[in-house]
Amino acid sequence: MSGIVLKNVVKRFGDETVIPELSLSIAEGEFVVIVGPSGCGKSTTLRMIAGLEDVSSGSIHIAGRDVTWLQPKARDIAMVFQSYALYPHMNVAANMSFSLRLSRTPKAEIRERVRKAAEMLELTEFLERKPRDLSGGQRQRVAMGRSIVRDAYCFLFDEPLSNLDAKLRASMRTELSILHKKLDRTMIYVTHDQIEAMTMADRIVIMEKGRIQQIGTPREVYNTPDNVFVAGFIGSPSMNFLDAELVEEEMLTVRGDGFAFPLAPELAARAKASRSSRVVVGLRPEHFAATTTTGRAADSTLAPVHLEVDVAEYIGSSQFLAARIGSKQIAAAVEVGPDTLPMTSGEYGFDTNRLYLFDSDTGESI
Amino acid sequence: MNPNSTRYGRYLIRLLIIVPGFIFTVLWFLPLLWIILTSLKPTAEILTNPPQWLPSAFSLEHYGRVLEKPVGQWTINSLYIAIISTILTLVLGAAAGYAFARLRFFGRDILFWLVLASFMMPFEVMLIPLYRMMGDFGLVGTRWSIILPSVAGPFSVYLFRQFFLSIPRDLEDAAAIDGAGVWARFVLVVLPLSVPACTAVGILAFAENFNQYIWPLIMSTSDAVMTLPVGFGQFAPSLQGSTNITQYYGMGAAAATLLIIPSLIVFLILQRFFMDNIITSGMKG
Ligand SMILES: Nc1ncnc2c1ncn2[C@@H]1O[C@H](COP(=O)(O)OP(=O)(O)OP(=O)(O)O)[C@@H](O)[C@H]1O
Ligand SMILES: [Mg+2]
Repeated sequence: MSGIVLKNVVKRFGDETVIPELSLSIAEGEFVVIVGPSGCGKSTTLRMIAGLEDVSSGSIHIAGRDVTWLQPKARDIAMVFQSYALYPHMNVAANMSFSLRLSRTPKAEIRERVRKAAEMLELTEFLERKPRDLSGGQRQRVAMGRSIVRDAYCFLFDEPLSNLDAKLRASMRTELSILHKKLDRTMIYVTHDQIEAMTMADRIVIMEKGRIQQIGTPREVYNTPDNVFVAGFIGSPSMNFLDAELVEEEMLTVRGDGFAFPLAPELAARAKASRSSRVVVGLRPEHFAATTTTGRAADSTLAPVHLEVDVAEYIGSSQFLAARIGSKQIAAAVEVGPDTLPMTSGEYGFDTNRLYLFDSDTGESI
Repeated sequence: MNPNSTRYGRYLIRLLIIVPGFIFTVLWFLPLLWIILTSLKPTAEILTNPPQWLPSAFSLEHYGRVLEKPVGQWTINSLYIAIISTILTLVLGAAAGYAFARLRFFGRDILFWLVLASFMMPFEVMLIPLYRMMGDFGLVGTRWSIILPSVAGPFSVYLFRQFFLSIPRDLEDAAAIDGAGVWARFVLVVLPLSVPACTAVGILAFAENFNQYIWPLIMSTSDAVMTLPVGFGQFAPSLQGSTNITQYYGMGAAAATLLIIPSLIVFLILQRFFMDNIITSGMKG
């Protein structure tokens, strides 16, 4: 099989098991983004794919070859380091061309590739400078440049845009997506940034404590999170979680401190099947509405809920609310148009079609 | 606090550093000054009571006497030995230091402890075994018999290893990803960043080898191999009979003064390479 395959990979540092067991299959040409909290093993995973860190057990295949015990240079990969790791004694051009010079690429071709990369990264005027004379953002772009001048089978990026300002980051994001389309190479990208993950990824891998929590397309992980962790991690601002009980009323309903939502039929069926009575309800902030009814009251799926609003933040066409349901702090984002006064406490709506239920013991999605 | 008092506080602290520093510098420098002045005194003024710092007239007679000896040949020998020893020390020390710092091989840590342990061994203990070893190699009385033992010193290995450990790991990892093997990483990335360590080891190795005394004294059996310190050592007053001892003070001082010059030149040339701070400049933050 081509692409990149990790089979039952385990990584221990001394007595500490950082990656208890990880299997992952990445198709050739795919853009995979790994996200997860700090210290969950993202960099370690990349380093094992790159060959900078030995696996404690398991195997790694790249392009159908077992590379588990091969040197980094035999793996045909390029990598951007979280710390940039630019060669301090070489200028920008030399930093970018180092790998090409090692592989004895013809001089003219080196010059051309460096020129193109520098142009794309807006580094042309800095080619003669040493890294110490560059700003953090410029250094980060040189680190990117050093990898994209290469024609590697696979590109690994460890938070390559974290130090750029918002505008440059957005444009680099687009450039990277274009580059990925053009090169059609496998790319694995680590980030903390929701938006980077959602916008660039073919598939997102969500990790926690060295374990993969879910793998899926951005749509899948947003719409059907496997568990509480994924649901809370994907989406910004993050999902609100409320303890509740399943009760049989007219319809199957979740009832908790300050709220009661009837379940949509499909979810109700799943909830019945799961036979748990204590559940966690997940409400995404963006699924709150400022009214309790939609235009066509008959098929409205908006259920009323009372929000005690503490602060309303104006951000143009919507407002962010820091509010309470019962005694529980929640966040809501309601679309109200740019001319509305700050929202106050009162009846709001929540779209029950978009309500999530999790088992309160296991955290698994129902 | 009132800004004036903090300013005085800072001055006071600076004074507390500068004054003792100045005193120690003077204490260190006085004997050196005494030797240099002695070398320039007429013989009659060398041993006076009370001691006399400045001569009534400067005289180069001691230098003249010293230079009657084959000083040129001695200098060539010393430079030859010091330069080759320094180069070999740098090459071997850096290579071994890198192996201890970055490579993984069986017995590495034990070997490193052995290297450190050899710090503890006084050179005198090794004199006789070393002499016999050189005898077995048939090297007694050659320059190589003086060069080889000094090259195996643990200090350069230790210093290089510590320095290499301070180079961010990611730099070498990045080079490995870029396609560099161990040698390319060492030569193209690590060594260019190690100029400060090479300078420090270079200066120390040169000074030490240039100034070696006991071992070259044993090994140099003729003027063809004799080094400057050994040659000049012949002027030491205590080695002479009781006659004419005063003029040997003058010649000894002149020889000692001459002996400072080569190390001083090497230091002045190399010291501007002492820089720090460039290594982390490619890294984040
Ligand atoms: N060389 C090492 N020796 C011991 N522990 C290590 C080593 N490298 C990493 N770890 C540990 O492994 C865990 C995962 O580290 P890793 O760098 O992969 O996290 P990360 O997900 O990249 O985090 P971040 O988002 O902060 O970069 C951490 O707990 C870290 O302390
Ligand atoms: Mg990391």
